[in-house]
Amino acid sequence: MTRTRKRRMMIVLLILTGMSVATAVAITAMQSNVMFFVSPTNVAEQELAPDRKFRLGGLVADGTVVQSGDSLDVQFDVTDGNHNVTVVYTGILPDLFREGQGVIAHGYLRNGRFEAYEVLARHDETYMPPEVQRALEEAGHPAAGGESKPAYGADA
Amino acid sequence: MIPELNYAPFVWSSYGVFAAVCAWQFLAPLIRRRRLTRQIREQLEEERAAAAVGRPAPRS
Amino acid sequence: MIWSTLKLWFHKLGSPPIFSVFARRVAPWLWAAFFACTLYGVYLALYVAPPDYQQSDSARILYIHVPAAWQAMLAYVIMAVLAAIALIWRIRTAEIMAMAAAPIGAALTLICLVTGSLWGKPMWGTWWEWDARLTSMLVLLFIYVGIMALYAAYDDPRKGARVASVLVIAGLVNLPIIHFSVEWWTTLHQGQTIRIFGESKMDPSMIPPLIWTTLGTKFLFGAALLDRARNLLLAQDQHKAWVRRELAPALDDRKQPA
Repeated sequence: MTRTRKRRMMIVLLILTGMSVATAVAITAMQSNVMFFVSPTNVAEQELAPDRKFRLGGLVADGTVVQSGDSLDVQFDVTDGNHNVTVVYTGILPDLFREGQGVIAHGYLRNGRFEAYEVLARHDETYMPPEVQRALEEAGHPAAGGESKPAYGADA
Repeated sequence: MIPELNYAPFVWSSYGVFAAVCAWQFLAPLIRRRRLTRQIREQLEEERAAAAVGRPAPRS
Repeated sequence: MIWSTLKLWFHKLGSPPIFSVFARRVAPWLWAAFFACTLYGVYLALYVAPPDYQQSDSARILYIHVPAAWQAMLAYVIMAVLAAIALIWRIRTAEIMAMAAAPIGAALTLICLVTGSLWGKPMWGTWWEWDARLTSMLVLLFIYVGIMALYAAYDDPRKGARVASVLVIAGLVNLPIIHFSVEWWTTLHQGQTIRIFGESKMDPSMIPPLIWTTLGTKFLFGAALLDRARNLLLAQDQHKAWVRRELAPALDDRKQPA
């Protein structure tokens, strides 16, 4: 390799390292801003200003969904296994919404309840036919249904 | 023949978008080459005409 | 032996006339392979593969969404290698191939974003959210478009290619961000399903269509890359004799003026 080519290669490597370092710094600095949602544990651990909008993510706790008969009002608990937050919402829920399903609610914390104006469903990265899922469920496999990854743990 | 799918509008439009973009990827180079060939042909004709009257061809 | 053969090929393809002949002969076969793989893959995806237990038939969007995302990223890696070769060795064919890769990568990114949006609406309940995965993928599209714009902004295509190549190298940092976004941060997008290392989280009955459509996108990229790179070479060298020889059949197929 000639000297000019070596020099050009050094420039290419320099651009690469420069960009990597700059990006790493930027990412570390913005770490919490890039988080799409926070877990109920995060909510319990830190005092959040009332009226501050944020997204709450977790699983719909079993047996907590209360739908009022003829209106679109719904109330349910979001859990990450350690803490629960009660969410109230008025509107149409996504098709995937059910107990044990991952959800992300966008709204405010007021008087200990999370008032959501938007509820999104989250699904896990597992894909299988319904028959396989039923078979796994009958066998008591923990991975069957809902979220299999502890994506909503306290560290999330 | 056509499978009955849930969420059919979403599935079919996804596959439609895919087909359209692939078709564009196939056609765009063909169109470009056709245009280029026409351009070179015109250039050649100009050169030929210029050679006939005995002056140097203009380079476009 | 193998090394010297590869090196010979490398040098031969670096020559525009040889590259042009190679591309003319090989591209149709790659298009045919793309067509066959994709047709079979889509047939498997829509008719044979089972629906998903959670997402039912909407999960069938995966069979084009995921291969497009993979190829959009692989296209960037290939483009970056070509750009580095172009910057260090100043090989014109490498420059041209790097620039030809950008619009194809942009198209694949667009497929990924649009199908992802069409999948997100029925499942997540939203067309678009600014989570780390979606945003970094959109940034990839902007980088691709930026490369194309920068290349087009210069009158001297060789200079344009070198300047755009610097942007290609700089934009490389976005790839690990896309890949790890779902692990580093909380996102609306779920984690990785298919893993090279470790267990994939997809039922074996859903794997074949994914393999075929993935192969299809590889051939699509290869075919489009050869076509586009050949066009760029022909356009740049349009006053040279080799282009006129190469295009002779097409140039002669219309009546010459008497």
